[in-house]
Order: sequence, then C-alpha cells, then structure tokens
Amino acid sequence: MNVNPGQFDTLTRLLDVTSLRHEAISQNIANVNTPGYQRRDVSFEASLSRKLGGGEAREGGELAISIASDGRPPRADGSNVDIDIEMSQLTRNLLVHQTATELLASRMATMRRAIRGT
Amino acid sequence: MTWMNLLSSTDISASGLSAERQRMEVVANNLANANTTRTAGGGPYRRQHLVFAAVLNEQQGGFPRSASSPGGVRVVAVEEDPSALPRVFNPGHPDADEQGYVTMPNVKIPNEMVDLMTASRAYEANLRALRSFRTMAEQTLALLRGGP
Repeated sequence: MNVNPGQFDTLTRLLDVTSLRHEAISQNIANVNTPGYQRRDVSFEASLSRKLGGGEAREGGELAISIASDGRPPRADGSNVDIDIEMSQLTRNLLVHQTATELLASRMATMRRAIRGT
Repeated sequence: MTWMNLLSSTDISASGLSAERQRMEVVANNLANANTTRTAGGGPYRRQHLVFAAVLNEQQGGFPRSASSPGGVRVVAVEEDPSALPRVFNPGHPDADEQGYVTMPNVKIPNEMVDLMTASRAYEANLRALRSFRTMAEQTLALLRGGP
C-alpha cells in the first residue's frame, strides 16, 4: 500500500528549493551596494525538470546556491545585481512557496479524510 | 538541515539592514561635519564612506547546502575620501591661513543626499526580504496545524 500520496516528495522538494532560493535572493538584496558582487541563484528549473522527468525521488540532491550570470552587463561598480529583478524574484518565489504549501495541505487533508473514513 | 540553518535567511537580511543603517549613520556624520574645520587628527574633516563585502560561509555541510552558503554582507572598512579639500576665501575665519583661505571638508551635500536615498531604499528592500521570509515560514508552519 502506498501511504505517500501523489507528489508529496515533489512538493517537499519544491519547499526545499524555495527556501534555498529565498536565501540566494536575500543575499543578492543584502549585497545590492557591494561593488563587484556577482548575483547568486539556485538552478531551480533544472532540478525540477530532473525531478519530474525521472522517478528518482531524492536522488541528484545537489541543490546549491551558485553564481548565476544572466548575461546582463555589469553596473559601473562591477556588480550585476538589479534590485527590480531581485524584488520580483522574491515575490515569485513567495508565490511558488505558497502554492507548494497549499497543495501539500490539501494532500494532507485528503489523507486525513481517508484515515478517518468520513 | 539543522533548525539554526533554517533561519539563516533572517541573518542574511539582518546583515543587509545593519550595513545599510551604518551607511546612513556615516552619511549623517558627514552631513553633520560638512563645515568642521578642526578634528582630533588636525585639519578639516574628511568625508567618510563604508566599504561593503559579501560574506560566504564556508563548509556548513548538510543538505541542501554546498561548500559555501550565503552569509549576507559585511562592512569591512570605514575609509576617508582622499579627494582634494576645497579652499574657501574667508579671512574672518579663525582657521584662515595668511592669504585668508580656509580649507573646508570635502563633503558634498548632493552626493550625501543621494547616498542617503540609496541606503534607505536598500534598507527597505532588505526589510521586504525579511517580511517575505516570515510569510514563507508562517505558511510552512501552518502545515503543522493542518492547512494554511
């Protein structure tokens, strides 16, 4: 019997990604005035598609914050942080996190109903 | 992931808040001393500015962190502006030289105001990041209560 309802692992994984990504965005925002700073990000899409593509539940768990160049030219002080992009990423990440938690909560509610049998 | 690491986002935003607040303090100090011609080191006041550096914590270990995790920002130095001090003709001033010129601080009010504005905007951005983190944490904790 499968006691793990659908996508439980994926959603938990997604929460890991969003919390790590929040850390990267916070770091970028904290260093918005640091000359020469290179913005960081989590390779989120890559790890998600790997997750969705193969059935390997917790494999390939090298989620990491790394320097992410998005091809934009650096500012005059050598930093490539754009505060507008960081703020929109922050909101986007928050919404992804909210989606994942809502989905997890509804899965849990389903499971609870199934256990109670009502 | 230990539970202390769980809250490391707050530390990152806090370091940003603290750095920007220090910048505002330095700007306030520059503005307050825009006309100071005598300092402890002798000579007029020199404009100060902060040097920021990114902090990366090495080797915290454990999933999902790798070799270096972000640790926010740090003020590494308070440096004096080496640019030339302007000389103003003011023979009545007690610090005037024989020709009647007074060496004034190299504080430029417009520059300081722009600095103050960017510091305050960056402070707001950090505060916003901190607030988002709180929302995220609340949403996750709501799972324990059985739904957001």
